[in-house]
Amino acid sequence: MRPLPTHEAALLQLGSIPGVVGSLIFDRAGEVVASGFPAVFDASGLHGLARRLASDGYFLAWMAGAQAAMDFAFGDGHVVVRTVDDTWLLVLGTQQVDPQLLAMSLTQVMRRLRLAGSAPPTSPWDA
Amino acid sequence: MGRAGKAGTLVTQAERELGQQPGSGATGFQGSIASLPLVDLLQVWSMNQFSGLVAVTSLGRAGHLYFVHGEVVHAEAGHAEGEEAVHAILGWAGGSFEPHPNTTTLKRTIQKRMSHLLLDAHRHLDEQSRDSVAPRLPGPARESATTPAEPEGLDQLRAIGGVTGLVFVGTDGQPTGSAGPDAEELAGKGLYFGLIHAAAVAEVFGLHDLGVATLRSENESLVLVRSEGGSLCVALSPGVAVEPVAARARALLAKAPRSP
Repeated sequence: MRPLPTHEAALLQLGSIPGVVGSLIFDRAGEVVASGFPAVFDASGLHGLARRLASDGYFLAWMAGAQAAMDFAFGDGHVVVRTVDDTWLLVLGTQQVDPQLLAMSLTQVMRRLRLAGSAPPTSPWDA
Repeated sequence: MGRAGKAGTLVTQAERELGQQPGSGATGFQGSIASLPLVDLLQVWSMNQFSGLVAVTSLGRAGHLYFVHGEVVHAEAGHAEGEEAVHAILGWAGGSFEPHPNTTTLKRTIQKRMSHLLLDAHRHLDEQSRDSVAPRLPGPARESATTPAEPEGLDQLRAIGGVTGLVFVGTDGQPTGSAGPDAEELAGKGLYFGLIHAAAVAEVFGLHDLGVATLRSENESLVLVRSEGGSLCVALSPGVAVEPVAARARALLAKAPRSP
């Protein structure tokens, strides 16, 4: 699956939040649909994580449904995972990220991604 | 997507991992344990409601895992049967496996559900690796060192509306306090969440010291709070806000003295 402009815009928006290090969208096949991580993060490692989570039975069962969410607070960073239709959005942040700002931003980004996913394909003349 | 659809995706994923054409699993497939952890495959077969035999071989050793509707009901490995055999098979570092969907058995040596079975296997493997590098402590000292009492004050959390279950799990993976079947189930889920999912993201991003993990799903919510003495797993009704419960649990664990 190629990243859509909506995906890239969503990751850019998340990347502008202070404390957010990077984010990615992966699908049920474990493929990374779009990634907004700095180059210092090994792409194969990110891909491996996506594949590992997407092939985990408990992850699939728990992360089904629009309201599904996983949050991990480590001593040196935060990771949040949200369900967006048939994909998952994963965001890595430092300890300095404002949880409330991140939560509000995620709500907006996920709404846009869902709208883009449900909208019919647009023709070049619509732009 | 329904449960069957999700299972289909899992099988397709497993087949891709194993270099098979999607759909070829209908006649069974063979693979190497090194290419995909056997624990992960157990989940695939569990989600797929697999019934049949999975024959595992490793360095001349042979093991058999019998499934009925996604649950392992019987296992054999050498002279071992039941859970002992499952622990032995999951402890093998590498090997190959071959599912036989049409083979069954009348034996029932395993009563536990898959989540319990995997949790116990993790404990067993942890103990094995600990014992292999450290001399075994005398019984009572070992008991007191690895089985902490439930921290005081947890009843405050139990009294919160929407809290449906709560269990404190020691560093050895054993539930403490008034543990029962429900607590075992919750401990299994909580530790799986903490051990598998949190560990996966920690490994990739180089993160350390998991403090709190929360899960919101359609059917339940979980809060996992880690402390020096172990992990506190709290189950909540769907829709109940997890953050306030997580904050209270963390504060409680930070200041609670241990029960004698």
